Amino acid sequence: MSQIIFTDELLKKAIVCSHNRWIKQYDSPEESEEHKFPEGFYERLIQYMNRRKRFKAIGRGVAAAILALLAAGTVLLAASPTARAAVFSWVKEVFTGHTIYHFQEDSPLTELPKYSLSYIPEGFEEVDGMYDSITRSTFYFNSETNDIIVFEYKLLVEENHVELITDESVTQESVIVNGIAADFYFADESSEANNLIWFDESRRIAFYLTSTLDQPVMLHIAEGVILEDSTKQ
Amino acid sequence: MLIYLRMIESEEDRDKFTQLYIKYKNMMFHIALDFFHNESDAEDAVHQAFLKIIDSLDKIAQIDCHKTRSYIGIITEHTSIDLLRKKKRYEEVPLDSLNDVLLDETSEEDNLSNLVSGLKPIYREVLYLRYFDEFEEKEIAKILGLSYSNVRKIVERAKDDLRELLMRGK
Repeated sequence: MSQIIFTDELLKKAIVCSHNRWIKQYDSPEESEEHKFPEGFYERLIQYMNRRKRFKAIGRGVAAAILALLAAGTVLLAASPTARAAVFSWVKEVFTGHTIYHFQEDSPLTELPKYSLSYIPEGFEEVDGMYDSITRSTFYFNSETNDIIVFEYKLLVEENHVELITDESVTQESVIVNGIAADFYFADESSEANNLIWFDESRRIAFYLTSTLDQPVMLHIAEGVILEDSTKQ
Repeated sequence: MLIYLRMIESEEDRDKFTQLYIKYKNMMFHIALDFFHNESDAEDAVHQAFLKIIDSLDKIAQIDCHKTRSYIGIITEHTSIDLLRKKKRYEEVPLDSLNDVLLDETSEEDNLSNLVSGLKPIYREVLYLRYFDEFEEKEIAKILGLSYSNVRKIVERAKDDLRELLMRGK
């Protein structure tokens, strides 16, 4: 069988052509009828904007190394709005190619608490991070070993869920993190990063850890997740 | 290492967002309506899409241009599909059902363009952001609410699907 080859330039042209055909349909006059959004629609967006804060710490060259390692990840984490579940605890639904975790009810919290890692192996430093009102991600990098740790957590409100896109070859193992059932996804031949996911059921918070480190070390790190200011929650 | 703190809610950003809102809310609503066929759900999708736009406001340089219009269209489509999938356990079109996307006798670019149109929406969205808008994988991940590794893998899978579809048409 011969290999089909198309250049990036040809692909780009084809993508633009395809996209333009799609977006053009919304140019037609009948589609441009003005829709009246509900009262307060715009104001709620502005409120969200005002609440939003973000920080970013950049390390030269390190971000590229993180990306290179994560790019080969087997377990692919995504989070997006929507989903209702069946019981109080988290529910896992496995589909071909992806797995969805979600809760029956929204988190009782309205703001994302701040958690931190009480244990980080020697040699790692925090190199990048980002957060919004419901998600926080922190990146750690060991410049001597090129190992990474990505610690993320997400408040499951307003029908949020966590979705893992998995290759067929992915190996999953049930593990325990501080007495809580968790799922560990091993890196495979196309990946250099393991993934661990667990939940705080009472707060409806999903935690996930992505790392090139071994399972025992990752479990140790996960067990060291602490709420920074417990008096606020 | 450079570390900085930034507040996004500047007056300039609010003005930019307001202009985007006025300019594109209607287009966004009609894109979402095509998925939901009811106004309430379409409004929810537009709301969620606007939240994503706020989170990536720095990616938008000009308000009224084709690039921004396309970018906002993609975010709205992606958000609508995401919401719909969870509401109805929406099944994305599997590769096998794309046989009706036939290769014709036109140019290679047209053929490829037709096949791109037949890809899963998420594949099209990522490819567009990557190859037209030339966003890095990390930026696309943030825009679409995916992980970095997810974006990278989607690009590869999309290319593999295109190659497979091209092979079938040969």
